[in-house]
Amino acid sequence: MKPPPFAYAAPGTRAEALALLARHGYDAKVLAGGQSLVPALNFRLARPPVLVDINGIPGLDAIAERDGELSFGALVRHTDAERSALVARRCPPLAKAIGHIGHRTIRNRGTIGGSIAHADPAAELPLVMVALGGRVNAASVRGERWIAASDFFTGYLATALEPDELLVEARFPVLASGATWGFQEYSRRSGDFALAAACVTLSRAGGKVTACSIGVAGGGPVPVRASAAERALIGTDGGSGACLAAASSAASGIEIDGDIHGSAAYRRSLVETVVRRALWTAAGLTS
Amino acid sequence: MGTAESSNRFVGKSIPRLEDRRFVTGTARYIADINMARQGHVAFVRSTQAHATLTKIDASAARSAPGVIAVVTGDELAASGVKPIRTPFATNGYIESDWPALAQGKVRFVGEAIAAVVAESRYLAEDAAELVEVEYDSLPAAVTIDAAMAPGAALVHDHMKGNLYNDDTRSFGEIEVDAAFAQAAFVVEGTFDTQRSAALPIECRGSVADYHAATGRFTLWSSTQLPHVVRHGLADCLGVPHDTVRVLGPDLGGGFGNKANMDPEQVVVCGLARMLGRPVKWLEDRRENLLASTHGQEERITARLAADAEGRFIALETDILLNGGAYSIFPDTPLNELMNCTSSILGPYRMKAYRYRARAVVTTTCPHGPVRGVARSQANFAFERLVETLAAKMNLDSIELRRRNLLLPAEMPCKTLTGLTRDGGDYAGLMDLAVERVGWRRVKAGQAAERAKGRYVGVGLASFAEEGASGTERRIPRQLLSIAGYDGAFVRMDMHGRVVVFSSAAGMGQGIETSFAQIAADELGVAPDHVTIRHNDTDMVPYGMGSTGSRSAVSSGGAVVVAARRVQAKLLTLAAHLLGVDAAAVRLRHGGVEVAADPARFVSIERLAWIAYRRAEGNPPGFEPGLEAVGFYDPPSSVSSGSTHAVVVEVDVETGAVRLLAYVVAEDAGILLNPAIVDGQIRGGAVQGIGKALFEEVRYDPDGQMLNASLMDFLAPTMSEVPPIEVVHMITPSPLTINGARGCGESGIIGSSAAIGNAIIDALGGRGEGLSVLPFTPERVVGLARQLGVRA
Ligand SMILES: Cc1cc2nc3c(=O)[nH]c(=O)nc-3n(C[C@H](O)[C@H](O)[C@H](O)COP(=O)(O)OP(=O)(O)OC[C@H]3O[C@@H](n4cnc5c(N)ncnc54)[C@H](O)[C@@H]3O)c2cc1C
Repeated sequence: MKPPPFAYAAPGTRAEALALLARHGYDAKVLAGGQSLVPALNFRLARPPVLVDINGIPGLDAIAERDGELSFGALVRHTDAERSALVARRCPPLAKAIGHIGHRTIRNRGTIGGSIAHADPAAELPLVMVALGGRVNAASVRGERWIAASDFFTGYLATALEPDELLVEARFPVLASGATWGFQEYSRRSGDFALAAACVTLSRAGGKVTACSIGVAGGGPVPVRASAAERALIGTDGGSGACLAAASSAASGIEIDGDIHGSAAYRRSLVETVVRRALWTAAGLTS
Repeated sequence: MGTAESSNRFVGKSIPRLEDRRFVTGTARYIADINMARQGHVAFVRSTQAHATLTKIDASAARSAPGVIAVVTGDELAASGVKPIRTPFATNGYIESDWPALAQGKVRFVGEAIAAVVAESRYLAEDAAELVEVEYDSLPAAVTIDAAMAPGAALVHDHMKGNLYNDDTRSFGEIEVDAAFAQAAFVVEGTFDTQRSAALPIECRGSVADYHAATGRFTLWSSTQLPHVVRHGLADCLGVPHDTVRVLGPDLGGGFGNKANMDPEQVVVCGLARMLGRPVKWLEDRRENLLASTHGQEERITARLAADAEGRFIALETDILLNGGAYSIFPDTPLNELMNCTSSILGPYRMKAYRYRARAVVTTTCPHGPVRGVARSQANFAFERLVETLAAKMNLDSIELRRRNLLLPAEMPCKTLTGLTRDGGDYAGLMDLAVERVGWRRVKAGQAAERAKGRYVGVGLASFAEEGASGTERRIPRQLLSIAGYDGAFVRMDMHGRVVVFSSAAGMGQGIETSFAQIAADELGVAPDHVTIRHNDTDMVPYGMGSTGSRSAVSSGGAVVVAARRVQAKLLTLAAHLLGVDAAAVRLRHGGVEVAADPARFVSIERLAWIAYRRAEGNPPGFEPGLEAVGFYDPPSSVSSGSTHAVVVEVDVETGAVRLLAYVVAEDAGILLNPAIVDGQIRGGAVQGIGKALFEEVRYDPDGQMLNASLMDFLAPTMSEVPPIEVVHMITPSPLTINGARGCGESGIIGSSAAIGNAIIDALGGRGEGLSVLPFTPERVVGLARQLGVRA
């Protein structure tokens, strides 16, 4: 469990980093918190000839609110976001979700940008980003572009980032005023990747659900929105029966693979459970 | 209860652990910290196939890779004079498997070492290992017990027909088993599958080998629980006299059975050191540890239990199959596991007749080795589940059913049908204590109300007796030819009255440097922090078995008593002479020796020690200089710590998650040398037991690829999954051991699976049946909930 040989570069500026990525293309890998990349190197599952360590680049660690969105520099550590009063006030589902990422030592080192770029299908941040409709800013020597969450996660550990692009910023919309939310996750042990997780928001007016989002992770290769379930829930009273029906629709509507931690059928039942529990939390019902 | 004079003795007190200063300050020295000048670093090329003929090994590219010192294959190692690992084991038709330390001709499990690359660093060695080209001609894998026993299954070893290490049937008892079943009022039966587990020490294995050509001497630093046994095996494999091999170990970061074997890697590094004339170092990484060290405890136990109309057990019949893996481990072989299973399954109960059939199956998987508990938790799981089934069938409270069968204090010491000694304690009292402390009745009384609120809470227990510290009397009939059953100690008090004890035990975190110091302190009138315990060095310590099988407190601790008493006798003789009284008139007290009838007449230990060495004031006639003695202790056949685990669980019937709300272990380990250390042993064991009940399982696919060889997928419990574990003691000194202690290193783990399983079933409103496969994964728990008609 030692990494294969690699060249190591530690650029001091964003421009240098982008130049290195442009030069090495597929041969380069960005090193952020290292919590996913270093194990992959040690198992020799990843063998990038060049590592571009971005930890020395200034200005990538800010958390701020901008135009109805929370903005996170790529190098914001999970713990800093988890403990941010701004995040807790303006986007509480995100704060709650981050608490489920691994253990404290991993959250101290792991970065928001790394989590999103790594795109583990069971990871919390991609789920929240898909559920809330966030976006990322990708920079390269060619310029910058914004990519919506719905276009960003393209497959198992795969994203829309080009090899020369650096994820520099992630944005999450603040919770709409009056909206309620729920985040539920089930994992075998505390700190494990989720077997199933759901992030939901609900807005109601006049006793009816006027808007909702239901994001689900843990079943298939990427986190998804359960759009049929969302449509079915809108217009209902958002009561326990409606939540049950939406959860069941969400579970039956998504792609689910089994693995050594659970068969597809079991995982499907977990998806139904976490979605229902998250909806019940959002609706103020207790399970 | 304790002993009368306990207040002035150190044994029995929870003094802080003397070894902890170096552990908590990060200055302990582990195998990774041992370095030799000019050492080469080893990386193994390991088989990627479960079963295959090796058609070609091409190491030419690897040999010319940067920093490579050598690449050695199995044939080359053999040509250098290294013989395969072979475990003599003379019992009922047991068939040995030869295990070449590096594969020759054929591989039999994924992870088997094929070649060793030695380079200037581990990084370079791993880089070069990737360049070794191995060509395989695949043979069919046989991963499970069923696959290996299926008609027409490929033979893993040509000479082992039917893929069996053994096939052993035995009957015991004053009555005939079939007749007993025929007259039984109740018969219950079940088949129980226990998962393949890993011992998982935090520190993986590792070795540094040095060979001195001019003297022909090998030195092996190794992370091992059994230095003398490893030396024995190594010398045989290397083809050299035993006295030319020295095995020594620094601090161990845990063992749990994983380091109670002589491993092929230990043989390889010694062979390489001899071939290359350079010291060689190998540190196992976690992947290797999970994939290719040892696995254990994958058993299928089919059991039938017969009882009379009152529920008194009459007869037991078991058919036990063990997945023994691809090779027979040294020194235990897979048979040690089977013998523990067949013998311990009778538990702390009376039984009139017993018959077993026991088979260890050869499969194309990692070899079977001991894992803490060694079949006893598996046997306990099967039996205690059957007890619940019987109670359900009789519509009797299972606590009452156990009470009718538990051995009474007045019946002990006695032997079980299989020859285990039950040497006393109040087994029913322990059960009552556990039941009371866990809040059993309160939980039962509130269960219906909780269920109405959608909370599924249940209680469960398991009773057992942990036999440990087996002596030669028990070892010899077991035909474990490579190991005796005794341990040794050499005690030296220096001229300043400070003491060094050289023990054949192996310290691996279990606190022997403290508990043995307490023993020596009591026998020699000194303070424990004036006693240093040295261990893990075959050139330094007397011969003895080492540390496995819950034996150190009794066996190695007993040897410290024997040796220290010899030194004590010299102190008394010398003191009597100096005080001008008869030897019978003096006695030891803390700090010196006094005249019993007139304690004011006293000589200090320091003065006695000075005189014994310097002979300054004239010694008694014939008094040998110095204060040194060696002693051995061969424990009784076996002794047994009675115990009951009782737990409260809450089950989430939708996800299948099991939360432990309370965990109690009631235990009678006899005299507790250091109660805090005993509690630590039991709590640590229970944590591993919780892992076995709920999380841990080595998984293979049908082709023999391990699916979870990392700690991301092999799930061990963390602090978040572990409740506070309450340990309560009854103290009935063992009448059979020299220090009144019993073994308890595995008591923490033995009852966990059964107690937790019984509690889950109770929480779901079941009785008796269900959950016969370990671990109780959430998916299995949900399955049981559905089966019992429970839905949120
Ligand atoms: C024991 C353990 C448990 C864990 N549990 C969880 C969990 O429950 N949930 C969870 O979500 N995660 C979990 N993780 C992963 C953790 O959250 C990681 O921090 C995260 O996945 C990656 O972030 P990082 O900063 O460490 O990235 P790195 O490991 O440095 O990089 C990961 C990948 O992202 C790329 N990358 C990183 N930053 C950028 C960037 N700015 N632009 C472009 N590419 C980039 C890298 O090239 C690499 O391919 C766990 C990790 C461990 C070790």
